[in-house]
Amino acid sequence: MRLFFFAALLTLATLSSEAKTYSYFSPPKGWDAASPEIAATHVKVGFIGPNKKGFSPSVNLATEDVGDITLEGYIKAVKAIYERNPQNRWRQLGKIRTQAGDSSLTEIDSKTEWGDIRLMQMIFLKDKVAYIVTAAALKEEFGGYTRDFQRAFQSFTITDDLFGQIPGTERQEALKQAFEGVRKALAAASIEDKDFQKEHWTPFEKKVAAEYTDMGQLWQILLFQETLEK
Amino acid sequence: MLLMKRILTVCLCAFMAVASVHVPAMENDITEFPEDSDQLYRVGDGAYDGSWTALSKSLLGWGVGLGVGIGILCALLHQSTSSSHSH
Repeated sequence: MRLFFFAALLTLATLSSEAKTYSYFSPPKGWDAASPEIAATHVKVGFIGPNKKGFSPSVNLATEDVGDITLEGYIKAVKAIYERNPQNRWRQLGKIRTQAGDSSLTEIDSKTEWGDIRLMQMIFLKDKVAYIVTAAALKEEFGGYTRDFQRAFQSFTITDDLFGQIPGTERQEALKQAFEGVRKALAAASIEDKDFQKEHWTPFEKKVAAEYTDMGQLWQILLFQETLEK
Repeated sequence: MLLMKRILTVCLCAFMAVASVHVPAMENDITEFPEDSDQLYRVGDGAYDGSWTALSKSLLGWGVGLGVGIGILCALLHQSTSSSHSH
């Protein structure tokens, strides 16, 4: 589990920019973080669900610097990409309200070796960056994941304050104190230090995992990244 | 023997051509965009990458299928070689 977190931290380096803007969503509970090796360039993180019929459902987040293009212009470009392949069927579903704001929702049906696959993409533009959350599953199974995918899309958040997203000021303050404690200990030690891990890092990990499950796995990963950043 | 080699070469080429059709549907040359707009020409990679990553499992399946296909072809070739010697 620890190795995964350190690997994920490397992959997620660009989910928080130098100006400390974080983007994340809440993956379905129990889904595993995907190996960074199978992700394409713009994909920052992905989560994979249980494999029932040879194809695992998944949700991932990609970002792309797009300059001054509008959301409509970006969607037009994306539509052109998909429609170049006659095996794809692309359609725009409309708007979906997310924590970050109103986003565009699109659907793609595609034929692959694994059968008919359905994908949904939530696309949001802010400050010249496109954020794309992609959900995929076998078409015959997609209905069973609709609620999970909808929650993932709706939970999409962009913020510069991870702690501010926690419901309840008491919980925010409690975590901030724990966070500051670990940061202080880290200033005097290194991540590999066994005493640091035993006395500070592991208890902090357990606290976050046990008391902040409502924030989602990706938010937790970003918090850990922020904690360990030198 | 030379004839068998030629048959094998043709079959492998045909198999590769068929297999290439079954590359995941998202496999496009993304540089070939309509050139009516510079912006259209340059953006969309993020969405494409998201789909490609979601479908990457199918790439693994394609790789296995190719290996199995070559294996079957070699087995058929061996059978026909054995039967030609027995006549």
